[in-house]
Amino acid sequence: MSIATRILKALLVSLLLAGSAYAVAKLNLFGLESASDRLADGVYQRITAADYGADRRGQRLVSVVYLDESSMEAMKGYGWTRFPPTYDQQSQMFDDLMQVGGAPPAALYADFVYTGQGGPNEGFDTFVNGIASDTKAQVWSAAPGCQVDPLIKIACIEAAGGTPMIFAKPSPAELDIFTDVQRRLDAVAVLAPALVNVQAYPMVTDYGFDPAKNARLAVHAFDVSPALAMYAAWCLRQPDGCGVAAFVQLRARAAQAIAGKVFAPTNVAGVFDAPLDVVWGSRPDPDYLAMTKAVTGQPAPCRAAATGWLQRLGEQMAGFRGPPTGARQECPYALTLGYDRMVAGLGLQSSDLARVLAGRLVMVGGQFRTSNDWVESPVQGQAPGVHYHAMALDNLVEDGVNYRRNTTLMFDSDLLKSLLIAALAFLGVLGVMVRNSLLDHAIATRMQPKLRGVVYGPLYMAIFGVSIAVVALATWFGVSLLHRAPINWIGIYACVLGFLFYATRQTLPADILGSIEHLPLVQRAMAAHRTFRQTLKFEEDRLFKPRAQAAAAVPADPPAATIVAAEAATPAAEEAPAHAES
Amino acid sequence: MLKASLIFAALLLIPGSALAGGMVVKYLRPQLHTFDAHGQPIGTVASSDLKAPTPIVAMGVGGSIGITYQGKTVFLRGLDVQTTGVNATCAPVQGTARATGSSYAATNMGLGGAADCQHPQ
Repeated sequence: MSIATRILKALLVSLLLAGSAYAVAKLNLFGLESASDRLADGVYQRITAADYGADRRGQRLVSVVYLDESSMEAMKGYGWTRFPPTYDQQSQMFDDLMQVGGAPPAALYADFVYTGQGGPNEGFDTFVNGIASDTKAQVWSAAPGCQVDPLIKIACIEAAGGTPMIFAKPSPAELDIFTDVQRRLDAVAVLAPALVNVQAYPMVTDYGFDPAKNARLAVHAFDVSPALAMYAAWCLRQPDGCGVAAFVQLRARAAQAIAGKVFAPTNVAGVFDAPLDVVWGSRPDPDYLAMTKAVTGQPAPCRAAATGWLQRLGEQMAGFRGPPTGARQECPYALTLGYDRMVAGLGLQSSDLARVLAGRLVMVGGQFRTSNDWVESPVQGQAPGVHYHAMALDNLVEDGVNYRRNTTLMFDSDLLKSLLIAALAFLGVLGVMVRNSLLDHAIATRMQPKLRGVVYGPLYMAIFGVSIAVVALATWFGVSLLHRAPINWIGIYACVLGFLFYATRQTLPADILGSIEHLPLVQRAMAAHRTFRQTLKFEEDRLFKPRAQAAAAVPADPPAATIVAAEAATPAAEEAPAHAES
Repeated sequence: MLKASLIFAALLLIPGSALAGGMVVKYLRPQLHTFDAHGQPIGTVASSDLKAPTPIVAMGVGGSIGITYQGKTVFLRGLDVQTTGVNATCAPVQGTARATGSSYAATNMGLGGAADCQHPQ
């Protein structure tokens, strides 16, 4: 065989392996592919969580104010005797959030879906009027140009001197209903689809409805996600519009839109062209820790300090680490404060309220244990849904248009992974062939077996090391430079390393042992291993003893003692690799 | 001599007030929501009608601040007033509930509820 033939053989073997991997990925047998994709992303995030947001840029801007069961219990002292609270009470809450920080937030998102008006004394009119006052709706709501799309509406609110308030709504793609209450809210605020069971955080959603359906469901050209709406509100206040030309253009158009001019819908689909792969950080906000200490009198019952990726890599062995409780519990990433704590004020200073609210991007939501609005954070575990929005917003503030995109929805990532597997398998096969050539050379030069490890060691290290390094590099390259979700590095490692171990299943033990078998300890260990293997060997055993005639007719079934003796006499015969070609 | 005795009297009085639950030193809004001991809204009162500083005579449900107004105890939101001598006694009384046995299970995504922070009556 010529060298070209051998290279072709290596290529065929690697392509066969890659083709099999591609087929398995496409078939997604038992959901293994998608599950391992999520696992790879999650483990990567857990390992690198402490490195996210080193400058705390997003953390300084994004705050979460929540209501939970304890909040509702505490708020009984202030007339909140039912759930949900009346519109009057919620109006008071939003008014507090606007006022008590000393300055209003830069924008506010309420992760509550309002669909019904409630009873006659619920105070819905007060609620809507309060929102209209905060958003300065009387300035812009009658202008058609401000209703073209949600982004120009946000720009109009800011141009009018109001605070953009974004409220959740059911996705029009999932619910073909738009209630009167939602329509009244839509007239004075911005509605963004609440996200339910999404694998990747959407940015811009164009439903493709006809104009009549758009009007019926109050879809203004397209919808933006809550995080993008909040990010746009913040960017419109930045001189450079966060580097997004569309935001700069929006700011310029807003005044004209209020004056009556109608522009075409804003085009940001080219900038926010893919869903966001939400990156969860683990460094708790120092202000969160300080406020927790002030309010409860004790340090936050969670992991305070960030740790490096190496320690977090070791922590992935959850069996050894145990469930993260106490000081090992991850804190929420965003500055988080219960509304009841705010109202009671115990331990809080005015500066704390300013830190949470004034000029901040405030996300308001529930974290009721009995609700289903919880998401799985790879870092924190079960987290309230509002933290998903807050983290997505934090990602946008941190990374801007270079946010981490979810690759699985962009192109055939399975093909990319299969090509990587093919390349590594190809190198592995060539490495095995090189090893065999080295063995030929060792035999020809009568090199002592114990010296062969010096030759093979670096080779095996190169074969496995390169594979490990290439996958790690590809993962890092995709995340850091291409701003993509991590590739399924766990699946690729399993495939490539599994193949390499298979390819070297005979040569690797023989080569390694060949270099150390002169050591007495190794010899004893090898003898023990042989005994162990023979004891457990079952492949040629019969459950029932054969009859005498049948036994005589089966010469291939020698007594077990014979087998043991034969194998013990030639221990290396079975394991010795083929090291020379004829 | 008179000044010295006044300072002495003040030193005696201030700790006594603090033990009673601290002081409201400032009203932060022009109109304040008021509640009864059970949390039922009473109405609103203008901050100009209230004295400051005034002692905190009771703590209500959810940490509401009780002061004496027109001979009766009314409760205010802590958010609406500036107090002193209150938060020093705030201490957690319950551990944080967590789901054990699940990796990275976070059931504590905030400061906890008011039950974590009990003010001695």
